[in-house]
Amino acid sequence: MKADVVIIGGGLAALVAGIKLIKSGKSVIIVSSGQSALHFSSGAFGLMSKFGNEEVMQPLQFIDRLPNDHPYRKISKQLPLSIVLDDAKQILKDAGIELKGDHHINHFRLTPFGFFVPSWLTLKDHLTLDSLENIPFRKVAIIGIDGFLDFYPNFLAQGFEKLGVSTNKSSVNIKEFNILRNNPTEMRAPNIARALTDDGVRRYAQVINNHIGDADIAIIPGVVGLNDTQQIKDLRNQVDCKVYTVTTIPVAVPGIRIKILLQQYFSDLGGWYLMGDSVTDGEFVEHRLSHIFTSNLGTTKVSAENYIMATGSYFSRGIKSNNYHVYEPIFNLDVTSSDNRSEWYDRNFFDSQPFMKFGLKTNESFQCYLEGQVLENVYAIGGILGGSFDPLYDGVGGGVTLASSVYVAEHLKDKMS
Amino acid sequence: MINYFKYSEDNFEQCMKCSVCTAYCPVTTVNQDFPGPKQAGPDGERYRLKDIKYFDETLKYCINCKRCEVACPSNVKIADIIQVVRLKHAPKNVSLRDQLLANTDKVGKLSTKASSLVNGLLRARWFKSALDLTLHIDSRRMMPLYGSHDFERVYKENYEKSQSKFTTKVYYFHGCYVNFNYPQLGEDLIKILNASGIGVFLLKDEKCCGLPMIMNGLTKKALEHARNNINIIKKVVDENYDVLTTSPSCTMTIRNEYANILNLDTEDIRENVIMATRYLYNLVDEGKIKLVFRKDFKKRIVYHTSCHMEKLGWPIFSYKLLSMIPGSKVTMLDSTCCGMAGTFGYKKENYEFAQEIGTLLFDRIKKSDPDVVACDCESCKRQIEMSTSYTVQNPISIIAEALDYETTREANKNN
Repeated sequence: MKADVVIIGGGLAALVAGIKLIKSGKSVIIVSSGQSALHFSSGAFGLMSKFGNEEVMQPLQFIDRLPNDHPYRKISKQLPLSIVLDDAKQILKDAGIELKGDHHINHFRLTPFGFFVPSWLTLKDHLTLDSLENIPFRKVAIIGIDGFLDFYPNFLAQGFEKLGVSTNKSSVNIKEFNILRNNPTEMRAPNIARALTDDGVRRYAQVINNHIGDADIAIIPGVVGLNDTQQIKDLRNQVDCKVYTVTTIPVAVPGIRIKILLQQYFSDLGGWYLMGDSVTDGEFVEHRLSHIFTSNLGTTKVSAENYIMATGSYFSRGIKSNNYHVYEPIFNLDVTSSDNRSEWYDRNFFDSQPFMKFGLKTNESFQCYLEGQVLENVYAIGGILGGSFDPLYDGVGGGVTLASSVYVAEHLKDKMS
Repeated sequence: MINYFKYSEDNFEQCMKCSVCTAYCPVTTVNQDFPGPKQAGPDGERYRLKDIKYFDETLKYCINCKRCEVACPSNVKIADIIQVVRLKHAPKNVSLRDQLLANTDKVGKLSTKASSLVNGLLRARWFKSALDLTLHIDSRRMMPLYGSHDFERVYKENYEKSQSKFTTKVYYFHGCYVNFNYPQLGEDLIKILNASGIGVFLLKDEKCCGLPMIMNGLTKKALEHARNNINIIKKVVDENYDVLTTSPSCTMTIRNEYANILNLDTEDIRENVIMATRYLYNLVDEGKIKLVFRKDFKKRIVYHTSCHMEKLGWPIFSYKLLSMIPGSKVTMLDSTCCGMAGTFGYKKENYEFAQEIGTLLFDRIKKSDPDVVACDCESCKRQIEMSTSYTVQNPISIIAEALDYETTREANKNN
């Protein structure tokens, strides 16, 4: 079986790169071992919120000061970063994902725990603020669901009170939710979303309206709109004030919606997504990956001109660690990490942790290395990338993933034309 | 001493309680008595390993669709964990109804002998009501009809003699559905392969794969069938022959369930038991055979991925094979369960659940309004044909219908 590009990994990076490649006329196969980290996504993508210990509001102003192995720095040497970021935003939009935000200036988004943190792109149905002063509302109705434990009204209320905004908290129920309560441990956001029919949405809007009181806006848990944005639009139209959803504890509906819309778009364009399959082996010939084998396809070889590693970080098992090494488990590609275990972590838990910077070693075009040699047709994008950046601490995870995916797809398009 | 590096074969230690499985379980949203795959699988297993008193009857609501396993980011064999513990600890007395549903081959053999009588009864309202009242087989269900000759007999009478003239040779595990309900599918496969210069042989003494027995708690019977099938398949695999199938569920059972649930050794045969669509696609892809299609065949096809096809990871072969027909336009439906789940949907207590699970799929099919729905699974076929107005065909039957036999034979005459 052949394709122009095989992408190993099936999350945000893989889908965005896959969509861009297909749109430029290439055939693409994605191999995804189980569902991706998008299921744990907040529904927002950060570009940069910290530079060292400095708070960042205008990320692009810091690019020239980044170390040479930072993905943003590498990309900006070849292409203007703003074009790459706009391209990523457009791909998400084309897939039907409705986002707000601008790469020139961060906005603040509300987290499930009531914090307002800097973000680049945030789903339209989430609450965002341009600044933490001059808040455009005075009172917020925080409306939970009876028996639903993954939504934290008290934390949210504290967050608003810090901004000088008052709140009223309440909890509602509709008959569609009753059946879920029989099995309280599985009363999770996606199950609530799946139980909501169009009639249910109407009833849900009604009970929300009964609880708004004198509030200017309402906050509800992110339990609406699993497969598309229609139900969330319907709900927002039927609620009397502006209503925003807050991502719940994972598995989270906003992230699943992003994943479903991207995957649908990728498939509609003609891409192939091998779900629940994993690459078991590959053969290298003269610094090129010639073909791979997967656990489901068995003896059927899958070969491509180019391969992209988009298998994610530790959480997605794109890189793994044992007592001695950090390693890439499929091909044992070269990883940027220290062999001295004491250098892996910082004693202060809340500081930037060195192990978060570990990942695949790549050159200026994001080509990977095997035993010190560059692989001519193997690239890395997204969470698996190593370099001088901490996706979590610096708030660059989403931005690095989207920018590297678009950049590598663009590079391959030129290379294969 | 604790061995820190030894993992269970079902990977249950790898579960990180993320609940992704539950978000993809077709049962959880319609039946709240089912604790959900995470709870019923790895989570419950921790308690059951301590004390089996934590075994929960409601595990029977799992339909073994494996969608939890396909979704799991940590490769935990969630559905396997559930089926294994069910077989070990489910009540020993299996009801007459479940025995009838599970023994697809015995019931099939008897029904084929008196097919016109049985088919008449299965269509008669009074008989279905009687089945409903006495056995709790839901009367709203469209019952499977039986052929007057089983496939093995059709093969013997019409095909067996002509097969030895081919130099390339494969074996065919037809399964109960082809044998008793729809021999045409087996004939379609033989015609395609013969035109491609390949002879088709049947295994000696094939038995039901055993999946319905596993799902209905008939462990002993399932083991007996599995051992028989492993033996007869091994005999031909040892001579380097492949064994083709047209049912994803039989295929998954032989390849996965024999080892993972019944704890039998299938190492020697596993890789040689493959769906006919995969076999054909690979031969065409490698340039070993050519398929030439009729110019007047034109159809808009939507492909529905059955749960066990999804688990096998092979819908790509069926899709690519169908896409080879110049007059076809094939679209993939988003993969979702039809609700039938083999014997599950026949049971009165499950009828409503089965139909509710399937709603999403039925809506998608109606929206796409195709000429035909392509699906590899016979159980989905029954469910979709009963619940929508669309015809469902196995990809092999569509290929057989679209093939230009004369030109194909000519193109492969040197094989």
